Amino acid sequence: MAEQISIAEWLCVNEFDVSGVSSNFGLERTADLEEFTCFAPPSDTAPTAIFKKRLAGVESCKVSNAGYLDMGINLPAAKAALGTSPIISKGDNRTLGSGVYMFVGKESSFSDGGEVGKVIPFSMELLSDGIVTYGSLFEFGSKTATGNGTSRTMPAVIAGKSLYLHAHVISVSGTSTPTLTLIYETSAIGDYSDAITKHTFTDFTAAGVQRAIKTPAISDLNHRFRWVISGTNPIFVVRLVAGVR
Amino acid sequence: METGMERITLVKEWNGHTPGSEVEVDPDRAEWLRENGYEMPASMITQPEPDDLTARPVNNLEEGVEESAADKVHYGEDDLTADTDPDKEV
Repeated sequence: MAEQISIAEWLCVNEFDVSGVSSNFGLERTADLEEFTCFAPPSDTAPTAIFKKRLAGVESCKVSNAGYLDMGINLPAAKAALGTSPIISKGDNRTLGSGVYMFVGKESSFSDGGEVGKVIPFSMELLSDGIVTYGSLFEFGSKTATGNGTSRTMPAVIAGKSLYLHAHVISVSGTSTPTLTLIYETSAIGDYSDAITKHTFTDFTAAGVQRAIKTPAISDLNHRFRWVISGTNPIFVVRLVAGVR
Repeated sequence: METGMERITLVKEWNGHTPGSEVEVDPDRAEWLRENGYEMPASMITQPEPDDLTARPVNNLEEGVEESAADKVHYGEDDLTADTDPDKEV
């Protein structure tokens, strides 16, 4: 196991990647452990010791970050999104295939302000509202032409599980209405000659975010994003994530 | 079988599975296999042989005559089943 310096962490809140203005990230997952320890059973005539027993209860996830307020970039907009239910993806690095926490936030806080003569700091906190999925980073970066993403092996989506998809489009540039059609597809064989479309996102023509949940069953284990891009000199900066839980 | 899955019997090799083998796949993949001719037609799938419903019952009795218990009496010397071949040497 190799330790790593925290330098490539990233956090998307809706269509905003706040990594560029953040100097500190925190992620905390919790589960309420409910105790149900009882006396030793009647059959035990000489009990010597009992041990606490617990059931895993309600889960929660909190993401926090702090940094320096940049009024010109994206924090004002991210701040505006906090009152709603932002779609959140949080990764520890930008290597494709690395782990990403995915959830919808509900309650959060945002604060800023500082001393005279100092750079204005900010901090914010995002709490999960519902299921938290630990997914995989499929794509991170700019897409300028139609193409296929990297295929990744995913667990089968069987009864009781779902496939969660997050598509964050951070920025769009170009002329002639740059348009991104984003498709999520699977393959049983792995070469996608047998590709089946599992989800088609609504076309992106501007920065935005979409979250999709696909219910069982999905037996194919090879998954990827595919995109069709039109327009003149189009550039779409994206973070694409998928997870099964 | 896993909930939501379908079982397909393959007529040709697919994804490492030999013809005749069964695979459990989701409905989308099952549809794909059918459309691309991977599913064995039902008529080719080996089934236990059904009873021959086309066979006609054998009736050894003359029409309208019921076999009675008397018919089954052994007639001793008048045994009609005795060998009556005239050419047979005694």
